Amino acid sequence: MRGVTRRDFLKYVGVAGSMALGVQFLGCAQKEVTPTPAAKKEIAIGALFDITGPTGDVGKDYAQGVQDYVGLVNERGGIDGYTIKLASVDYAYQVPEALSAYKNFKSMNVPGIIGWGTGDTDALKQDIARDKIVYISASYSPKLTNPAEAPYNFVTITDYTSQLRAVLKFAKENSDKDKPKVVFIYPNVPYGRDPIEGGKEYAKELGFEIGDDEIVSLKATSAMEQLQRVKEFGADFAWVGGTISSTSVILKNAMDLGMDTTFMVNVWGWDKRIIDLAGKAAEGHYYNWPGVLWGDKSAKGMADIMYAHNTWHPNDTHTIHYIKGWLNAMMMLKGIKMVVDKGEEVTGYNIKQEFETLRNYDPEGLAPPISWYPDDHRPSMISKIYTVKGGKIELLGKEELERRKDWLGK
Amino acid sequence: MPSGVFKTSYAEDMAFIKWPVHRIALALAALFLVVYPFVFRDNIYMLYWANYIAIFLIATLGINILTGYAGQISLGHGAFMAVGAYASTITAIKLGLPFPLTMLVGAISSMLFGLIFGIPSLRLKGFYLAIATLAAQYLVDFLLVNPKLAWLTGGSAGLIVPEASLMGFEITKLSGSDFYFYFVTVPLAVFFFIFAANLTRSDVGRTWVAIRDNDIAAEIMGINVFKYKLLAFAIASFYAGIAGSLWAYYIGYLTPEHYTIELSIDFVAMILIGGLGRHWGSLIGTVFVLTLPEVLKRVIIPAISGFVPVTFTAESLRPIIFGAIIILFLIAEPHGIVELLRKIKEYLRLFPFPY
Repeated sequence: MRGVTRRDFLKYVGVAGSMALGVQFLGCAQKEVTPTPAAKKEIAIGALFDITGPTGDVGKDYAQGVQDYVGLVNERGGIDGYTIKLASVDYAYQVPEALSAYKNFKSMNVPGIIGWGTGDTDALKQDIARDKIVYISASYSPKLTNPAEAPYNFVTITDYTSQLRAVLKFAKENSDKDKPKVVFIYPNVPYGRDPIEGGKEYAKELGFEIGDDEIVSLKATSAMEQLQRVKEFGADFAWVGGTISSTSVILKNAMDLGMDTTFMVNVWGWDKRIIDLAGKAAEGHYYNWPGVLWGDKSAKGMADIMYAHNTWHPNDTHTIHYIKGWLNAMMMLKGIKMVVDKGEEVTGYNIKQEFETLRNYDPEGLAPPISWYPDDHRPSMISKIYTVKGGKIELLGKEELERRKDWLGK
Repeated sequence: MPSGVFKTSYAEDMAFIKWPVHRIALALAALFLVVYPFVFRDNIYMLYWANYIAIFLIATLGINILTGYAGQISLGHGAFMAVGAYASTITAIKLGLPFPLTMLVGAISSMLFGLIFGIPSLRLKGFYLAIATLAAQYLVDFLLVNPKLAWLTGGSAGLIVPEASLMGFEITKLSGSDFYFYFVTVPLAVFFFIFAANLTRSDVGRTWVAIRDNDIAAEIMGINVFKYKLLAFAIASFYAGIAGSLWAYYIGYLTPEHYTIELSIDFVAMILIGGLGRHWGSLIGTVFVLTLPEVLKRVIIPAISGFVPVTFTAESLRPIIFGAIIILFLIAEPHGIVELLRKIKEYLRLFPFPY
C-alpha cells in the first residue's frame, strides 16, 4: 500500500512540476514575442493600480481610465509612431508590492509612472527623485506640490488643501452668519490628515469658529458618537475627508440625528454612487472635484471618453474616478509627446523639464488649466463645488484662490 | 548517500553535515549566494527579490523557533517586527546612532517587547495564547497611528528612515543600494539560520521540543517551563526586530501600514507551508509565500488573461489562485513542503522497491 501511494504521489509531483515548467515556458514565450516587433518604436511607462485591494472600489475605475487613454492613443498611431506600452501592476494597496513593482519598472527604464495611493506615493517619493522618474499619482496631497521636497511628483488637479480652502471660502461667502462654525471630520490616515492643518489656518483667517476634530475611520459603520458631538457644538459646516463608504455613513447618520450641518466632502469621498448609498441624506451638501462629471458633453475631451466607452465597454458605468485616471494618463503622454516633438530622448528628466514649461495648458476641458512652475508644482488653484439636488448632481459654483507662496506644500 | 546508518559517536550523530552529498550541496548553495548578486548586478528587481526574501527569512526563522520548536502560537510577529523597525529608526533619527548599533537597539527593544507578551504564556496555551499575542498586534497598531505620539512615531504619516552607512560607505538610498544591501541581508540571514539551527540541536532546543510535545511531562522532568517559554519569545522577537530594522532601512520609509495583522498571519502561513519546526521549512515557506504572488502576477495571470477577455477578471483571480494553491499544498502534505521533499527523497532512495 505504502509503495502505491508513494508512486501515485510522485506522479502527481511530476505532473505538477512539468505543468509549472510549461507555464514558465509560456511566460517566457510571451515575453519574447512582445518586444520584438516594435522594439525600436515603443515607450514603456509604469502604472500602479489597486483593483483587488481595499481601495479597489474606486481604483478599478481609475485603472480603466488610464488604460483606455493609452489604448486610444495607440489606436490613433501612438506618439509620432511610438507605441505606448503600459506596464501595469495591481498592487492591492500593499506598500511592499508597490516597491517590488517599482524595482521592476526601474529595470525596464521607464521614464514615468502613473501611481495611485498616498502611502506608496510617499514611500517612492525619494526613490523617484533619485532615479529621475516622473510620477503622476492619484494622491493629490499638498506635499507633492512642493518641488523642493518632491521634485519628480506631479499632480494634475488642485491639491487637497487648496480644494479644502476653496470650499471653505465658498462656504463663507454663502453663509449669512458672521462667524460660522466648522468641524473637521477625517480618518487617521495620511490622506485624511494632510489637508487639515492648512485648512484650519485658512478657516481661522476667514473667521470661522473651529470645533474639535473628529476621527471617523475609513471602515466605520457608524459615526453617531462623533456626530453627536458635532451637533452639540452646533456646526454649520463640516469637512468630510474620507472615502465614499465612510462619507455615506456620516451623511446618513447626520440625517438620522436631524442635523442641519452642510458637509463638505473631499474629492475621493464621493461620486455618483453617493446618491444610491446615502439617498436623501446626500442632498444639499458640498462636494469637491475640480474637474467635470463623467458624461458632461460640454468638455471637449469627453468626446474621446465617450468613444472609448462605446467601443470597448459600452455596458460599464463610470464615475469621476475614471476621469482622474484618464487625466493622469493624458498628462503623462502629453509630457512624452513634448519631449518627442523636441527630438530629445524620452527620459524622466526631459519630461520634467517640459512639464515645467506648461502654462495654463487646457486638458481638453476635463479639469482646470494646468501650470507647473519649476519652483511650484501646484497645477491650478481652481476648485469646483458640486451638490446633489433632487437625486441629480449639479454644479454649484467655482472658486479660484490666489497662488499664495506660504501655501506651497501645505 | 550510504545505504545505512554507520555512526559510531554522538558527535557524528549530531553533526551538521552528515553525508558528503550535504557538503557538496552546501558548497553549491554558498557559491550560488556569492555569485547571485554579480550575475544580477544590473537587474535590481532580482536583487530586490533576494533582499526581500533574506530579510523576511530572518523573521520567519524567529517565529519558527517560537511556534515550531517551542510550540507557542504567536499572532503578533508583525508587531514585534514593527517595534524593531521603529526603535531602530527613532534612535537613528533622534540620537544619530550608526546603522549596526540601531539595528541592535531595534532587536533588543523588540526582544523586551516580546518578553512582555510572552508572560501570558505562563498561564495560557494554544488558542488562548494566540489571542493574547494578537493583543500585541492591536496595541502596536494603535500606538503607531495615535496622533498623540506623532512626535515620536510620525503618526499615520510615518517616518523617513535615514540612510544606513557601514564602515563609511552609504549602502541605502543610492541607485546601487539593492546590490550593496545584499551583502548585509544575505550574510545576516545565513548567520541567523546557522545560529537557529545550532540552537535548536542544543539542550535549549531539546527543552523547547519537550515543552511543545507535552509541557506537563516536561515540568515533571524538572524543566523550568516558563523560563524556556520566555526564552523562546525573546529569541523570536529578537529575530523579528533584526528583520524589522533591516526592512525599514532597506525601504527607507516607515509607515504603520506595513505591519498589520495580515503580515502576522503571513508569517504563520510561511511556517505552516514550509514546515513547522524545521529551519529549511522557514526558508522554503518564505520563498514560497513571497514568490507565489509575484509568479502569479508575472507569469500565470498574463498567460491566462489571453483566454479571459477582460484583464480585470484575470487580475481578480489572483487571490483566489493564491488561496487555492495554499489549500492544495496543505491537503497534500500537512507537514509542509519540507516533509514533501523528504518523502520524495526517501522514495528516490529506495526507488525500484516500495520500501
